[in-house]
Amino acid sequence: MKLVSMKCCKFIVFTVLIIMTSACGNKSMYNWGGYSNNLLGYYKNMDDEQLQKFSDSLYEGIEKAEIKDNVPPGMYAEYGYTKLELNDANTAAIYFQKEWDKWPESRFLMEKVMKRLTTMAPEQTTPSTTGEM
Amino acid sequence: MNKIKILAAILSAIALSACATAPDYKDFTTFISADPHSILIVPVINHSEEVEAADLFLTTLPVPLSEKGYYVFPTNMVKKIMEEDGLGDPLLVHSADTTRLADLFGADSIIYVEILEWTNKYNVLSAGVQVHFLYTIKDGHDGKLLWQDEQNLIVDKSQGGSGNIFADLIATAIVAASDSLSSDYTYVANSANAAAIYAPGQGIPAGPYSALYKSDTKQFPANGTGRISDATVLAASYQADPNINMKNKEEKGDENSEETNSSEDSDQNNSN
Repeated sequence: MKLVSMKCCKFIVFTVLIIMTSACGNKSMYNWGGYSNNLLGYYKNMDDEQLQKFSDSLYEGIEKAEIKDNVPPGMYAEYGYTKLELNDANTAAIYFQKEWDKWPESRFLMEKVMKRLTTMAPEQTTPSTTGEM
Repeated sequence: MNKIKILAAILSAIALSACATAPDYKDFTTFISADPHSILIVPVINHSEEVEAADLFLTTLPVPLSEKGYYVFPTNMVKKIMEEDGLGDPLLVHSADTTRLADLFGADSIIYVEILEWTNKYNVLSAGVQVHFLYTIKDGHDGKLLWQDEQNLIVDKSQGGSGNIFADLIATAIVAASDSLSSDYTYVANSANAAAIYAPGQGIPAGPYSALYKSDTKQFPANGTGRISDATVLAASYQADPNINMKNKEEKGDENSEETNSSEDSDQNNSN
């Protein structure tokens, strides 16, 4: 009898705890790596040095989050854009593609941005003959 | 057995009080049928004298919206693109046509936030911040109002709480999740965001990336009351008629003033 009531008791405590945690669910889905704070740091001082710092922080965040596959939405693109601003269009394109792969909702924008990149590209590459396909 | 019952009663009382909410639930009929998968965050309008408030606030929005289960467009990238395209002025962006703006990014919905007040309050006993925010989400496909919420909070810095149990609970969790330095202002913004976005019956339903997607209809019901907003002020992005953007473009003074249809697909003038 005692055993039964103990079990019952535990069960009630357990279910109530479940209800509490699910009602106020605060488990984080993604690994943000201090994103909000780093972005704020950049906005407080928007120079190249802070941009580089913000960009590095995004890269570190992505590397960590990829381990458990919980990279937040927008993060690949955010990093890609900082690389674009830092004149590294190649890396930018790679990360825009990653955003495209992971989030279908991003595809329209990513395609638009990547198209812009490819139209920019010919100026950077050496002029070649047009016969090549 | 009696003890168990008492224990159960106490625990459920705790469970309920932890998430105490106002009984007046909003109507989520429009939101649920629009079923937005993505949210575009646009620049925040700052009516306060706290100069940095707009940028600060912007940085606190992506985490709670993403954690609610939505695809949130890269906030800084969007901000920069808008600035490049001459859309850097928040007031201009808020009063621009929602559907055209959404089309630029392929967004299902847009969230507009206005900071109505952000003031330091000092009195004998404590130092606090009074904040007043207006949140508006509109459908990117037809410009309709999907949801609106107003938050008016006084956050006591000395005690680190807003007095709103719900806001405090969730804000603490979000601060932890976002690794924040928990500066006063970030705490304030996070508290308000949590109260606005997460409160059952008042916030927004879970998005497609959440485990609760489409299973939280008790907390966010389609109750048909038509009460989408609890705002007491008018947003720059929203005038009482959700189709006002469309109507405004047509010259006033036409013969009939109350026609409703066929205005949407007919006007596609080239504004650039």
